[in-house]
Formats: sequence, structure tokens, C-alpha cells
Amino acid sequence: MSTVIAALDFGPVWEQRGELLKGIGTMAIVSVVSFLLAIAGGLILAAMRRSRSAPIRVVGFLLIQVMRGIALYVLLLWLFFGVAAAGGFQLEPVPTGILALALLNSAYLAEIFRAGHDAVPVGQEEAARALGLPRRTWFTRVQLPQVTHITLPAVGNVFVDIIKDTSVLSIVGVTELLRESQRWAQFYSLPFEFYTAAAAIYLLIVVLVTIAWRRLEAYSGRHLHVQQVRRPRRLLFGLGTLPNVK
Amino acid sequence: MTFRPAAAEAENPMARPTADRRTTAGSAQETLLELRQVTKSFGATQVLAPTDLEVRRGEVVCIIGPSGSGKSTLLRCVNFIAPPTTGVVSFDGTDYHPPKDHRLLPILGRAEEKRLERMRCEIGMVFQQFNVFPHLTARQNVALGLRKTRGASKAEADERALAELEKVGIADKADTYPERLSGGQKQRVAIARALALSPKLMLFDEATSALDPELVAGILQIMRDLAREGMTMLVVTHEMRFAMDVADRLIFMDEGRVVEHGTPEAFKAPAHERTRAFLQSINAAG
Amino acid sequence: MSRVPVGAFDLHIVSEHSGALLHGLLLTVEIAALGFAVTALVGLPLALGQMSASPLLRMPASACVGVARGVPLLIFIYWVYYAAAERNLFSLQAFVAGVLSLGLTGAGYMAEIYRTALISVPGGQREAAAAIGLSRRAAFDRVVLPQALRTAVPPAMNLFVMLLKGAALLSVIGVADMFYEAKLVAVDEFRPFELYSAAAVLIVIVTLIAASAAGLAERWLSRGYR
Repeated sequence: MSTVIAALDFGPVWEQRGELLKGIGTMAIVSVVSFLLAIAGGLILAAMRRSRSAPIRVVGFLLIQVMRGIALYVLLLWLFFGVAAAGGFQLEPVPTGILALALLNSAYLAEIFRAGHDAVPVGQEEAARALGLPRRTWFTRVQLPQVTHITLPAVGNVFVDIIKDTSVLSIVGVTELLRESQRWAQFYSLPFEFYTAAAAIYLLIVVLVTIAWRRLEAYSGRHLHVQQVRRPRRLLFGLGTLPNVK
Repeated sequence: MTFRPAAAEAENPMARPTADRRTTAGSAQETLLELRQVTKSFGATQVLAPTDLEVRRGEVVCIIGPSGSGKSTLLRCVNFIAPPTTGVVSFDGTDYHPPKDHRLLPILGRAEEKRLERMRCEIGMVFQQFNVFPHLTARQNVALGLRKTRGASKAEADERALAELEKVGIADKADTYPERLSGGQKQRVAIARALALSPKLMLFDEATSALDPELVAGILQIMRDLAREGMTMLVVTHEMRFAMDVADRLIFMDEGRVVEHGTPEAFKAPAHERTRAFLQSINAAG
Repeated sequence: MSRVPVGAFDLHIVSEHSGALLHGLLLTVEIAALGFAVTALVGLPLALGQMSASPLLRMPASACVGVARGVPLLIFIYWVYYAAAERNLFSLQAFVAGVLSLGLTGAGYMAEIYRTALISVPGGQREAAAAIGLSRRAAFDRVVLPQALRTAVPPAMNLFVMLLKGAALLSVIGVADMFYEAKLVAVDEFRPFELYSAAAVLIVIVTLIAASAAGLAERWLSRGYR
């Protein structure tokens, strides 16, 4: 064991800090863009599940189930190699990765939004109606702020998962942190150092994002005493014991 | 039973004749439970001021007072479910001290914990929220303690459990899960569970407060019967009529301290303004 | 890559290689199941450690959970398979490395599931167990844990589904699972769309079955119980 420690050489990791930072930058951009797209997609899917038209509800349900059943890696391969081959075109790694991440996570977010919507007491809507507020005002001024607050912790978990999942994009050639680490690990033949460094960087980023998100949760809850919904962990068919409160 | 620090000393409480229920007259004078200067704090807030309390064998002592007055805390200090912060609890001739904090190495507290477990087998407790085990049938609820603390075999425990359920009138529900029981039935299971271990002392923590009004009388009747059989009982309750009828002594607590104690007779004309106000508010509500 | 017009989905290719795909699928399920077993075993002590009053237990347990949840699975896989072997820490077959990586990352989630479930058992249950003189061990084994496990089953099944999907990643270290087979054939036959579609459909079917099983288990466990 002591020989292992003695032989550790983190010098090259430090030397390549510029390259690794570039990888972190790509990771950040991909994460944030996917996250925003996933929120938009999640809202659309949640609205579909609430639609008055039965066919739209069914389509929304099926989309959500399939998206939650499929692995990111499989979706990536399917899009990047499968669909591209079938359509006869070549896809760029970064947009494909963003698309895959956004698709999968929009399904999770849709379920979270739905649970959050259900968690707001019915009395709120009744009170808004009794006041004669238009439906639109009820939604934007009464419902939305409360749903936002309730779902914030769960949405934060999705964001963290997206950050971690960007590592999978390295497989189709997105030069994010893991891909950079891999490249230099092979270049220097120092896999232990580079992978350990990558793991540490990921951990640090996740911890920082989690702390920042907690701040956001506290800020959003400064006037409220509503219980927040924890993210239902990868649930299927609504089995994930919602609301998974902390 | 006496409260040394209490300001108002009522006339000798032991004077009340108890001929109807003392079957073991010889041991009736013997102290079963004694609390000496027991306090309880959560962090910086003291929820129980230094309290002394003595309960003799066969006695029934009722504790009354507004909610948050420390009644339940006092009860929980007796069997160390909420260990006192300072003071001594003496039960059946053995002293129990507040456990040291072995947070770093919990193993150091094992011996003391074992002692407390043995003590708790001798003290039955009935809770406001029943706390029956929802994953066990009524019979299994009663049998669990017998098997784990009395070393009874499964057959013995089952048989005894059925007998105990019979006594509280729900033998027919022996194999029912608590989900399918009414509040009154759950509380009967909880009482049977406590009595099955033949405790020397029974603690009742607002045993009827969570019950629908029509179910209260049944539980109170069980408690009356127990008292008549000579069970030593420490009862936290809001049922004043029950307290006046059954108790040998009453204690009124407010804001974490004993304000007044005495016989039910003495409580008809309380010495303290606060006691009077409390009794009035209860009577007005009832 | 060959140019195949959309719509010309060649099912024949898929059926021809269905044996290899199904064999790979079995391996995927097997790895996920073994990983889940590791998860279930390691998760409980981690959860108990996190809930311990003693900082000597709490801090290392929390650190383990933090690492397991903060580091991406793929990096775990590379780390366990390449990096550790390169340093002579240990050298594992791809299969074992896969099970371990899945199990250890999953353990972080499982610890949280156990912890939430244990917390959800009302305090009155512990009090009642203590009041009838049960030892802490007996109270935990007979009263708290059985109730907590019921709460833990649905999220644990979801974790299993997550592991199933995670197992797909193991083809990167050469585990001959379904995706590995699909990739081989896809490259071989220039039929990536068919093969990856088939693999995707199969994994969705398996996860849906697992999810339905979770539903059944939940209903079965909550018989006569609230």
C-alpha cells in the first residue's frame, strides 16, 4: 500500500489544469442548457398529463413512462448512431447529449411538477375562486409560487443528477471533464491520478451546487411553512411514494 | 405520597380510607416509586422543575393540569423513556440515575441500559396515541413483550396474550391488525400489552384523550377495575370525574412544576388560584 | 454508416441476433440484481451510521454517502476497473468491477432510503417498545425495522430500476451485456438503428416489469396494515 501512495504523481494533473477546466466549462454549459430545456419539457409534459383531451393525456403518460424506463446511455447510442444512421445524417455530440439529457429529465420533472401541483391544498384554489380571481391570476399568483417552492428540493436533485450524467456524454465524444481526464490519463499512463482527480472535482461541484441550492430553498421558503416535496427517485407508474418528504 | 418542595401542604393524604380496594393491606404502606429532585431539560429549556414524588403500593395517583405543563414528561421520566436530566428515580428498592452521555462510545452505556430495560418490564405504560405496533396483530402485539423480556415460548406467549385480550374484552380481535381496530380497541390492545408483563406499576398518559367520546367510558371502566384490583397507578388525565372517584391523591401541575397536591376531597376547595382556575375551565367545558 | 431510408426497419436483423441480445439482457439483469444486493447490505449500516449519536460513526458514514452520491457512476466504473488495477490496489474482472461500482454508488441512495424509512416510523413506536422492556436491539429488529422496510420497498424498487439502467454503462469496460452485443452487431451489420432500438425497447420492457413488480410487492406488504 505504501508503495502505491509513494508512486502517486499528481503533477501532470496540475499541469493539465487548463484542459480540465475547459472540460468543466463544457460540463457546466451542457448541464445548464439541458436543465433549462428539461424544465420546459417537464412543464409541457405535465400540462399534457393534465389535458382535457384524453389522447393528449395518454401520449403524455406514454412519453413519460418510456423516458423514465430508458437509460441515458442507450438513448445516446440510439440517437447518435441509430437515428443518425437511419436518417442518413451525422449528429454533433454536444447537441445530441443535451437533447438526450433534456428528454430524460423532462420526464422526471413532469412527475415532480405534477406532485407539487397536487401538494398545494385545494383550499387555495377555492379561496382564489371565491375572491373572483381569474384562472390565469390564480395560476400565476397563487399556484405557481407555491408549486415552485414545494418542488424546489426535488428539482435541485434533478439538476445534480444532470451534472453527474454529463459524464456519460464522454462516450459519444463530448469533451467534458471525464473525456479530458480520460485523454490525459492515457497520455501520461496515469489513470489513477486523473480519474481520482475527476471524481474529486465532480464531488466538489456537486457539493457546491447542493449548498447553493439549499440557500435557494431557504430563500424561497422564507415566508412559507409548506412542506417541500423531495424528488421522487426515478419512479415509474407513480410508485415512488409521493410526496417523498424529507 | 408527599411533595417536599410544594408550597401548600394539604392535610395528611393517607388519611383517606381505602378499604374498598386494599387487598394487600400489609404492603400498602410500602413505597414503590420515589422521585427525588427529578428535573428534565431539553437543551436550555427546563420542562420539569425539581420534583419529588412518592407512590406507595396499591395507590392510584392522578396528575392533572393544562397541556404543556410537564405531566407527560414527568411520566416519561419515571420509566426513563425520556431520561431525567438530574435527580434520582427509586423504583421497587432500586435507585436509577440519569444515564451518562456515552455518545462517543455507546457501548459504555450498555450495562445501565440493560438495568433500565429490566426496570421497564416491571412498569406498564399506556399512551395517548395508543402506539400499538401496526405490523403485528393484536395477539402478536401482546405476545412480543412476553417473548422478548420474559423468555416465554411462542405457545405460552400466545396463550397468555389471548387471556389478556380476553380480560380487556377483545379476544375476538386477537388476529386482527390494528388498522381494522377502532381507537378504543387499539387502546385495549395497548393495555393488554402492558398488563401481560404483570407490571408492579402502571403509567397512563392521557389514555382516553385521543378517543371518540363514546369510547372513553369503556377504557375508563378498565382503569377503574384495575384500580379496584389493587394495581398501583400513576395516571395523567383530563377526566376529572374519574380522577375524583378513583385517585387516592391528585397532583396539579402547571408550567413544569407541581402546584398543588392532595386528596380528591382537598381538591374540591383548592388552595391555589391557578388550580381553581384550571378546574373551573374544565368544568365549564365539561 | 450506410444510408438506410427511414421506414426500412429490418426486423430480420434483430431476430437473427435475438439470442445474443437476450443473453446480454440476462447479464444486465444479473449484474443489476447483484449490485442491488450489495446496495441493500451496505446501505443499512451506512444509514444507521448516519443516524448514530456518535460522531465517530456519523462522520465517516456521511462521508461515504456523500462520495457515493456525488461521484458519477461512470467515473466509479473507470476508477474501480482501470485506475485501481493500474495501481495494484486490486484487480477485478469486468463483471465484478461492474457489480461493485453499481453496488457502491447505489448504497449512497439506499442509505437515504433506509434513513427516510426509519425516520418515518413514529417515535411512539420506539417509546412503546421501550415501555414493555424490549432491548434497543429487539425494539429495532421487531418493531422499527419491519415497519421501515415496508416504507422502503417502493423507493428501493425504483433504485433497482436505476441500477438496471446504470448497468447499461458497463459495456464500456467490456462486460458482454446487451448493449455490448448490440454495439458489436450494429457495427458488424451496419444496422445501428435496428439494434439500438431493439436494445432500448428491451430495457424499457424490463424496467416496466420491475416497476410493476414493485407495485405488487408494495400491495402485498401492506396487507392488513396502515
